[in-house]
Amino acid sequence: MATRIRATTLQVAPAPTLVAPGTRSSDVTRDVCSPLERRPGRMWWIGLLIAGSALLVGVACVAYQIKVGIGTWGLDRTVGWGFDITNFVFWVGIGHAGTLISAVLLLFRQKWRTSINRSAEAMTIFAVICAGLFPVIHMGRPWLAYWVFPYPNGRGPLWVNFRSALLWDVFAIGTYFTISLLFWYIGLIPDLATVRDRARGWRRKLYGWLSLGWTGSARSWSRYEVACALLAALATPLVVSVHSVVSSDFATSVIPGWHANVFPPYFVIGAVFSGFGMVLTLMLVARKVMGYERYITQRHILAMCKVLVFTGSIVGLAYATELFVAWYSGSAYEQFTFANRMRGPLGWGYGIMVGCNVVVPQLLWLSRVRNSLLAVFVISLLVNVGMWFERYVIIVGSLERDFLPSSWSSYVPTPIEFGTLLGSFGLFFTLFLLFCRFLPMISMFEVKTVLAPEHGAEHSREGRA
Amino acid sequence: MTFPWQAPQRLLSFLRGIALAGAALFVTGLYYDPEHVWIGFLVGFTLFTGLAVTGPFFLSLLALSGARWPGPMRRIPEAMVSALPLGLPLGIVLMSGLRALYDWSDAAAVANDELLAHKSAYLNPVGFGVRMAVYFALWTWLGHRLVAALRAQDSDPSVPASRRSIRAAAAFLSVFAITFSLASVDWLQSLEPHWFSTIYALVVLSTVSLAGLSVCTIVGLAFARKPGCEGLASADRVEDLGRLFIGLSLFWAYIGFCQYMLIWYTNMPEETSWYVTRSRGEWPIVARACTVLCWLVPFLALMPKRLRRDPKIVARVAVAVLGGAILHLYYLVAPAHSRVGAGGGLLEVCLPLAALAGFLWMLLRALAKGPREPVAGH
Repeated sequence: MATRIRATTLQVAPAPTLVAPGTRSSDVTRDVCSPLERRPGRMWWIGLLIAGSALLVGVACVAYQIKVGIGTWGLDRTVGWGFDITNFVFWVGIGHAGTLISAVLLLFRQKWRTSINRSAEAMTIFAVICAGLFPVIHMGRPWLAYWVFPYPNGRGPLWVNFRSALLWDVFAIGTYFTISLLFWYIGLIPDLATVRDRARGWRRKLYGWLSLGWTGSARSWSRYEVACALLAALATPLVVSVHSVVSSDFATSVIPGWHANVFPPYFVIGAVFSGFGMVLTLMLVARKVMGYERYITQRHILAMCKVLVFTGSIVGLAYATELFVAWYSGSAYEQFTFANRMRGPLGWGYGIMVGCNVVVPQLLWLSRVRNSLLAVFVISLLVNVGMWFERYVIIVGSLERDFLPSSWSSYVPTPIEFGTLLGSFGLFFTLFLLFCRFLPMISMFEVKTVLAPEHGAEHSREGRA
Repeated sequence: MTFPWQAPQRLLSFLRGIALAGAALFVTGLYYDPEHVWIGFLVGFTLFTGLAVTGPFFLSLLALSGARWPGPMRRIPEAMVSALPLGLPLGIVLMSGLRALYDWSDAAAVANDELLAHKSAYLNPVGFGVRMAVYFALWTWLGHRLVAALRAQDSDPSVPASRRSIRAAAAFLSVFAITFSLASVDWLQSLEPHWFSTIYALVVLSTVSLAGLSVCTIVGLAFARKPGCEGLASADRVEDLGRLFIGLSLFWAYIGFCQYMLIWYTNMPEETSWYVTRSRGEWPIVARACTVLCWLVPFLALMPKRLRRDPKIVARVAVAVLGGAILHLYYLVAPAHSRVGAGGGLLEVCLPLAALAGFLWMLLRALAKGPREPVAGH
């Protein structure tokens, strides 16, 4: 009873605004711009040191495997895709939350997105950069990576295979990266102008150049909003298309465990799930380290928890559907694949994937868990782990045991592969830390629109001047 | 603002007449053309129950996302729930047609077919009936609970009341996701019992959602033409409906494309059979008609903002989409019986239309009896 009363009282006082009450628009400008204007704190340097070291390990590993060849990986004829494609799909998936938050939630008029969209979009771009590395390295001769683009060439009739899902990836991810980058940069322009107006010396020049001479006139704003709406509309199908195409890398094959018609929507929802896991992880750290508690409030975290439990449950339904249809199909290969997935050599990975992706998020139904920052943080980390394992189990587990028992094998990743994975995390966090240091992490002009009404008038004067 | 949700008596009598005529046609048809009758009945049954269950499905999505844009229009999906209790009696009628529709219900066929024997643990008449009873019991109970919670929230906008409706919505949605997936296998996928597809539940869900959205839109916009009800269809609300049509029709096309592309690409005989059947006779024309009505028409017609805000245009699109969705249900059912070509009989057209009329009759009656007070937040 006591718990219920407590839970109710927590809910009785819903925040009237999305940011802490009493926040003025001048506070927003000051809070968001000041980290860019002072020397970074110790926490930032420690973070950069750790991330940079991981990145250096990755650079060393990548340099080594480019020099020696991808024989340095644990792949063989049976298991042709291992850590590389697992990491690729993992990182592409992470990016999805950013696009969903910035484009889909914009179209759905979900105002709570304003505090987190900027960093979620940045996360998208960095995640896609990390993702893109793996296929390029896997090519073995990354200096010829431009051969994936179909252009008239002097190599005779050598054209890319338009029927290959791998080529669709090139287009899907290329488009995704371009649109995400444009959307993010256009979203930054008014805020860069604010930073410019507060800066002096070379920084003023730099930010002035970056803000493309933004004046904030009514005409600029009107055109700006049209541009944003157009980009949001363009980005929305990308949320669905990118991971649908990524899933086609597997689903267009005849490998049991890879070929399932439900793969495209199942991968999309899994991507959104893992992306929100990462957004929660980053936002919970960022609000603490950067002191953004009044902008990234309990309400944002609760909304993200809702998305997490919703998408996690759909992922669980997809797992159950796969199992049911494997039995229902009556196909011996399908049945073997899923029995092997659960009880075979990678059964422990399947346990992690189901535990972290389906069971753990269900804890978020409990308001006590949802309202505990520590619990949400731990759950968000476990979601990241679970979704990485999902891809690993699907990719490696299905390949290890194919149709012919004589060709079965066991894949063991080498230290080089672990080092590359570590390096990708290093790259991601290095980029993210640099972003926190040099660009406004919260979209000031959008947060100002959701301040309490009495400050609205001030906002329109200051924010648009 | 209160809305007189009272449909004209003549319309109600007309709809009831059609529904009764459909019932009479069904009974007489059983004697001279049972195969067509059962196909028509299954399409009508899926349409009726699909429409009834999209009511609480939409309501739970609206409640969980905190949507307030439907305003008084929320009464329509609320009224749709009232058709759910009729699902089980209709299902019991369907049980007597199992032999005509489903190969797996024939013990002799199962004994001679290894695959059917394997599936008989799931696909058997007793299991089919029990599961159907469970689906309808759960949908009816949780659906009515959700409506009650939402209506209680209208007069008592406190936090505990809103928590209750959110809980009811979450409970319905969780149960619906699982039961609807299984129901789509039971009722439709098992018509071709050798075939399987993991995405099938979404194919059916996208189709019945389109039908449900069309019915909500048509009913809502028709009431908005009555004096005193103009506020029902503000331009903003019409635009939101239009956007939902674009979104749902894209979802429908996306799911259909995923299934087709992956089966076409891998070209495995155990999966292609479904499309091979549907590549013969008139079926490709039906497939194209579905694509035009369910996807192309709403996508192109509602893309310009001016048209999306026009209630007349949106209502016409809704009629086209409803026709497309019914046609698509027919496309899912009828080709399974390869002897029957498309447009095989008047019965297949009349019975689903009678089911639709019966559903509309129940919906309008429930609307008239339901609350007229404004919904919470309006």
